[in-house]
Amino acid sequence: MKEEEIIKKWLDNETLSGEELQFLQENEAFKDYQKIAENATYFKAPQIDIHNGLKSVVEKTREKKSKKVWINQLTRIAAILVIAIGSYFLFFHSTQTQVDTLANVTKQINLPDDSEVTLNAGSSISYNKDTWTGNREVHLDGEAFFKVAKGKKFTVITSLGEVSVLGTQFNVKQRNNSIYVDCYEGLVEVKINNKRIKLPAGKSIAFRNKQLNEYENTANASTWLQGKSTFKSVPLREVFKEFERQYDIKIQAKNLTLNQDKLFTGSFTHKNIETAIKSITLPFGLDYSIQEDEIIVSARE
Amino acid sequence: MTKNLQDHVCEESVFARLYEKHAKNIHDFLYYKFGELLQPEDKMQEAFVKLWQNCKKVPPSKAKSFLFTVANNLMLNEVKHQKVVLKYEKRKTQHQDHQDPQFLLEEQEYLKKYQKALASLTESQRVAFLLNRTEGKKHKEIAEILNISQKAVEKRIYGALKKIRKEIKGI
Repeated sequence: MKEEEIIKKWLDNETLSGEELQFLQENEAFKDYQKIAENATYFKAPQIDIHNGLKSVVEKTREKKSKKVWINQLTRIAAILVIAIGSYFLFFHSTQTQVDTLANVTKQINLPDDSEVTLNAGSSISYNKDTWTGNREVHLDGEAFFKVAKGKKFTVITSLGEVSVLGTQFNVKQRNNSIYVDCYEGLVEVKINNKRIKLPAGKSIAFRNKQLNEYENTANASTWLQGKSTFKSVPLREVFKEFERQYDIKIQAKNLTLNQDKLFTGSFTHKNIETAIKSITLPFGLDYSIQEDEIIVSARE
Repeated sequence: MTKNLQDHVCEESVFARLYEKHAKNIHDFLYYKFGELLQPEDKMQEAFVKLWQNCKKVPPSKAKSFLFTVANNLMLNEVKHQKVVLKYEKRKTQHQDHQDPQFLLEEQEYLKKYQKALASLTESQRVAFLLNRTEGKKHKEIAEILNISQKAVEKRIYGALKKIRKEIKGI
């Protein structure tokens, strides 16, 4: 035991006491050990060049790095392409169906559950075919008449608010900053600014300039379906806008300010432009002249 | 400690320091463990390249064990339990005049036996013994390099010494 301790000490190149040295000298194996220890240096590992070694590692890493960056860029571009194409198919192709109407056109659309939508001129509607049975949601920009088949909740989403129903006939009109909802059958729930309003048959609601008005609707269905636009206390500017949509023509106001207090109640036909413009301008005492692609409305002198 | 955390292996100065500190030890470790046939120097270099590629993931405190592990694995991928043969250098002694041919021959014989004896050691014995005897490293330093206790180092070296003697003597 003692021998082992001392040899270990000797192996670690520690200074030994005279007594310990004496002990080793007397040990017969120690001579062999000494020779072995001495000759071990023959097997020394070759020297390596630290400076050049480091240089070559750095060079190698540079090569790999630049290669990697290049591949990285490629993968990034590929990923973006995949996402772009993927989202194109996701949002525009497979699931979302969009129907638009140009000015001067109305369209009849059958939704997947046989609900009917009639889209007025210059409007667009979109819905998701795939999730339709569980989620009857329609995004509307413009005006449309809905005849909803009985079933789960049916929701029309516009930028101003939501209209939801169970099964009924109703009209939603959202133009710029105003929304009009007319209910003709059943019960409609309108949600505007987080306020919920229940609209029974025969009632209409108007949200204009942040003001909410309820009123009775006189006709038994939206008049535009019969080729007529009907208004109740609607600013003249909006009436002209609707006119422009229906006839695909510009209306220019000459020496005339179309401010909010000029309200129009009445209707204009979609079938005769002359009759139509007359029915708007006459009550206000305005003059009009029909040009090729515009109508100039001016105050009567 | 906080400085250590800020130190990044990706920084070239830090990387260079790690290289200067560990390159030789890793090389020697591989050389004594696996012999020179499998290019220990190349494996060591490759381990550093790997460290650089993973420099963001490896904190400086873990760099040493990362390097040793990677280098060792690179070797193991190639080694198929080949016999380790360490080259012994031709000695250029100053005492050449005093050596007669008989002595030289005996010495050659002795080194051949020694070579065989080294090959018969276990890897861990050989590494510890040669780091101690040829690189002149203290037991404590070897313990640090190999991540084992000093006692274990002593045991390995002592065991190696006894075994080499037995092999050479043919006991």
